[in-house]
This record gives sequence, structure tokens and C-alpha cells, in this order.
Amino acid sequence: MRTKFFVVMLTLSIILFSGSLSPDDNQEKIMWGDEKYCLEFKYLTETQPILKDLWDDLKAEEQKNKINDVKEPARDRYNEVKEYYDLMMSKWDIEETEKYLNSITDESIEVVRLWLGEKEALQLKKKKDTLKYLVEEAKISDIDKIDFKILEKYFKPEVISNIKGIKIEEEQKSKILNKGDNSFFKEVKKLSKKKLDFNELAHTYDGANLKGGVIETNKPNKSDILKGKVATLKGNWGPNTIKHKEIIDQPKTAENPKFDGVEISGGAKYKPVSGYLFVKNNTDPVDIHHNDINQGQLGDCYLLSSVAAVAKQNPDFIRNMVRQNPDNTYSVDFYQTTTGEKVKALLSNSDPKYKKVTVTVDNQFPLDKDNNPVFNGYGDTSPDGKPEVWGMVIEKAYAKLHGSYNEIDKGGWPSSAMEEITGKPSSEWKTTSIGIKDIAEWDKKGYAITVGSSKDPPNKDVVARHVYYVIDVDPVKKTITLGNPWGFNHITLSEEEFKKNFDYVFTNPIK
Amino acid sequence: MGKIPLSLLFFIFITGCKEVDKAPILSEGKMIEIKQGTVANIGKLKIGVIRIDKLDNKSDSGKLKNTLVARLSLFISEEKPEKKNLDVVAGDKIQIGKYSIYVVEIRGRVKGTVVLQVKVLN
Repeated sequence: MRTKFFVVMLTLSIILFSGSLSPDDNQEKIMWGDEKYCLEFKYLTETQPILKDLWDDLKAEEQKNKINDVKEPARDRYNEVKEYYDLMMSKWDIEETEKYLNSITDESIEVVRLWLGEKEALQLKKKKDTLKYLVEEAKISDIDKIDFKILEKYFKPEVISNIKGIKIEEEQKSKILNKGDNSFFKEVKKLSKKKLDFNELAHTYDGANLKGGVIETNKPNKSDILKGKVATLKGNWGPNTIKHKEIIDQPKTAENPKFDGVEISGGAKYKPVSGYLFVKNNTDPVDIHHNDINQGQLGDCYLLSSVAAVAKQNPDFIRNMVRQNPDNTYSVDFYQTTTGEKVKALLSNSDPKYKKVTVTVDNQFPLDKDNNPVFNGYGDTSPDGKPEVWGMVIEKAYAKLHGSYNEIDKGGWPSSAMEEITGKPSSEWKTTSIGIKDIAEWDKKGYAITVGSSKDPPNKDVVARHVYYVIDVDPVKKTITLGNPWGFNHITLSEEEFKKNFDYVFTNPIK
Repeated sequence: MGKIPLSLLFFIFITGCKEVDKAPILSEGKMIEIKQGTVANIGKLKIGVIRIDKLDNKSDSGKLKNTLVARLSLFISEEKPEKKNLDVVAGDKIQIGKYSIYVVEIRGRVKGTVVLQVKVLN
């Protein structure tokens, strides 16, 4: 009897004792990432990421304790990140841009992704990339007349107005006037006293964070080139290569473009030239031919090669581009876009819009003492002895468009020049990433193709840092014939030689 | 000992690295200066500067070593066009068609300049 009682008591004791050892056996464990504890898990992910792998091994009580421990700091952190994000996505002025742009790092984008979500992280990244792109652009070009529409969500209106040169858009003006709100004008007026130079801002951010500051794009054919490589391209061709100023309006001056900054042996003066736009003769059965281009003492190979490339592929395009007027003046059509438009196009994976600009020039050209053109020379000579002038007309109009011959003497990009001629976007390729076969295909499609030589080409007859245009490609023999805008010294190279001597290929569809 | 200003050091460095080779100017001939990558016209003669290098080897005329060498492209646009590409150093005298060309100065390398005296022979 005693033994029976002892066994029952022992069993009961074991049951009770074991129960006291595991008081949470009935307590439910918390799943990692449970929505109920959303903020706490975000905090743990950020501060103790390793915990995720160990979480299931923790006892329910331990899990509960962990959650309780981070409850308060998690809320604080959420508010902190939210505050940071709101500030980063607010409209900045220049000082704020200077102060905050560098704080948008890859890490901070990841934090925003964790705490606020994918959409917010992408928006922050987009802002960072767009501003970085602009800053990079600002370093190499004057963007005082930029279209900042795309940036209205990032900048305060006065910043945009100020960078635009205090020109408030009419639409905006009337909106404000209708509202009877003069504070905006007051603010702009106040800021206008302090000339804001976006280049200054660019230099402020001339740091490691901005290396290769080119916006990423989803366009597969451009992204490889845009990622970092565009920055390398800048400054390759011409004595002081700059990216061209963006000009929205045609220069209002009726004066001829100056050339006082260009070194010309023996000097030159504007003198009238009585010629024909287009001339046919025995050597030039088609009146518009790439061999009508003859570069002179101006460092504008990027422009003249682009013109020659278009003339070679589509002479009628040139015929429509340049016109002689009854008053002996000439009108030339160009196309321009803005950095803002380009940013917008990149972001929306579309082509930028170009605005047609018609430039009119008279029949006077810079000639030397012997009455020879000092810049792009004459084309052919007509039977009555008059010269063909379409090449020099385009060059003069382009100089006028950009302010002066001095400006276009500084070198430039054939991709930009081709865009200004055709109003279609150009593409840029490294010669290491393409072959003669690709160039032959573009040639067959009717694309204008220009190529940029390296700084120190091994072939000593290839002009260093010079832009040539493609005359012919033989995909079978794997050779390429390149035209020199000088009008002579053209060259035929094998694929291997071409890749050794030339760094870049620029294409433009023309139509 | 006073400190040498950084700007002065920079100036010394820049001027010390200036690359110019000169030859005495002749009494005859039209003086022309051509930038690398561009072309000058003298009548029917076109002269383009392909490149400027500092080389150890001899010029085509067999002159000087370790000096600035300019590669020129000469082209006469007449009925029978004549073309010649050649290396020159300061002091070289070359001839193409009716033109005599004397090299007065070679300055810089990429985007440097070449100064020539060109005389039309009778």
C-alpha cells in the first residue's frame, strides 16, 4: 500500500516538476517578420541581422523579451528614417542641395528600402542619380538656361528660376499673379542679387562620390556607354574640349560671329563671298558630297566630320538643312535639346525632344589676305568660277548658334554635333565593344557614323585626337575607310588597326 | 629658410616642362602657325599637322635625336593632286611642288603648334 502511494506521489511530482521547468510550453512562438511586430523586426534586421538565422532556436519567452526590448528604439528609428526621407525628398534650395546630396548614399537608400519600402527607396535613388548627373553636366557645361521642369519636384521654384537666369515662365508668372501672391517674386528678387552658379555647386561636389556620375538607364544599348564611360569621353577632342552650351533661343544679334580668339596665321577679315550653295562638276557628280568639306584653321573636326557623315549618307538632308534666301543670306536649321530633357528621356526610357532652331547668316566669311577662307574652305568650283559654299555656311551658322567661332574652336563631341544637325539622338560606342560588322550594319541602315582617334595612335598617319567620318566599310575584307574632314589624308584600315588607333564610334540615325 | 610658395613651385614645374624646339627665322617666306589637328592653306598647298611627338629616332631628313618631331601632311590640290606625309624637326627644309617649307618652331605635343615659313619657288 505504502509502495503504491509512493509511486503515485512520485509520478505526480515528476509531472508537476517538469511542468514548472517549462512554463512556456504552451506559450506560442513568434514567427520572424510577424506583421504584428513589423517595426521591431525592421529594427532587429538593421541592428542584429544575424538574429534572423537564430530566431527559431530561441524560446518563446526569449523571443518575447527581444521584441519588448526593441519596441521603443524601433519606433524612434522609424520616425528618424521617415524624417530623413521627407527631408531628402523635399524641395531643396542650393544650400540644402550642397548639404544633403552627399548624404544620400547607397546605405541610406537601403535603410529607406527596409523601413519605408521599395517605392520610396527608388524615388530617393532617382533623385540622387538625377542630381548627380546634373552636377556632372554642370562641371563641363554652362547650364544657365537649362530646362529644369523635370527637377521641379526636387528644387524650390526660386532655385529653378535663379538658374534659368531669373526668367520666370509666363505660365507660372500668371499663376502667381492670379493668386495675388508676391512672396515668390520677393524671394526670387532677393536671390537674384546673389548670382547662383550651378558650376560652383558642381565643384562643391567634386568628390569621390560623384565619380562617373552618370544616370543609370534601362536602355540596353546605351547603358553600357552611359555608365561611367561618357565622363571619359569628355575632353577628348579639341584643344580645350567642352561640352556645348545649351542654347534654347537663336542668338538675337545680327552681327557676324567673332573669331578674335582663334589663332590665324596672317590674320583674316570678313569679306563677301559670291558663291553657290551647291555645285556639280566632273569630280563631284552629286552636288552635295562629303568631299566638299575642307577643314581649315579651326579646331572643329567634330562638327565638320559630323556634317560630312550626314552628307555622305543623305545629301538631301543637307539640301533641306541649308537654304539661300533672296537677300543673299543663308538659313540653316539646327536642333537643340536641354539637359533637363535628356534627364527626362533617360528616366522614361525614351528619346529626348529637340527644338528646331533656324540660324540666318550673311554671305561674308573670314578670309585671309589672298581671299582664301581661313576656316572650312570652298567645295567645288562652278563653270563660272564661283565656289561652292554650303560647308562654310553651316560652319558659320553653327558658330553663330554657339556665340562665336572662338566657342566652336574649343573642340567638342561629334555625338552632340550630329544631334544638333539631325534632331535625332546619337549613340556612342567603344571600339573594343563593337566590330566592323556592326559598323557595316549601321552604314547600310543609312546612319551617319563618326569615329574618334586615340591620344597616341600607333599609326603615325592617323591624326591624334581627331574625329573622322566613315566613308566605306567592307565586312568581307574587314576594312574601314575613314574620311578626314581636312578633305585629304583619308585612310583605310583593317579591323585590328582600326581598334588600335580609334577609341570611339558615334552613330546617328539621321531620320 | 623661407618657404617656397606652392604656386611658385607649380610655375617652375610648368615652365620647366615647356616643350619647344626652335630654329632661326629665315629672311624669306610667309610665316604660318598651324595647330595640331588643323589645316592651313597657302595657295593650292594645304598643310595639316597630324601629330607632334618627342622621339629618340631621326627625322626623315636624318637630323637630330631626342627632340620634338611633327608629322605633317602636305597636299597640293591641283589637277594632279600631290600628297606627302613626313616627319620634320625644327630647322628642316622640305619641298613639295613649287613650295619650299622651312620648320621654324615646334611647340607642345597633343594640341601643340608648328610654325613654318613657306616660300613659293619661281
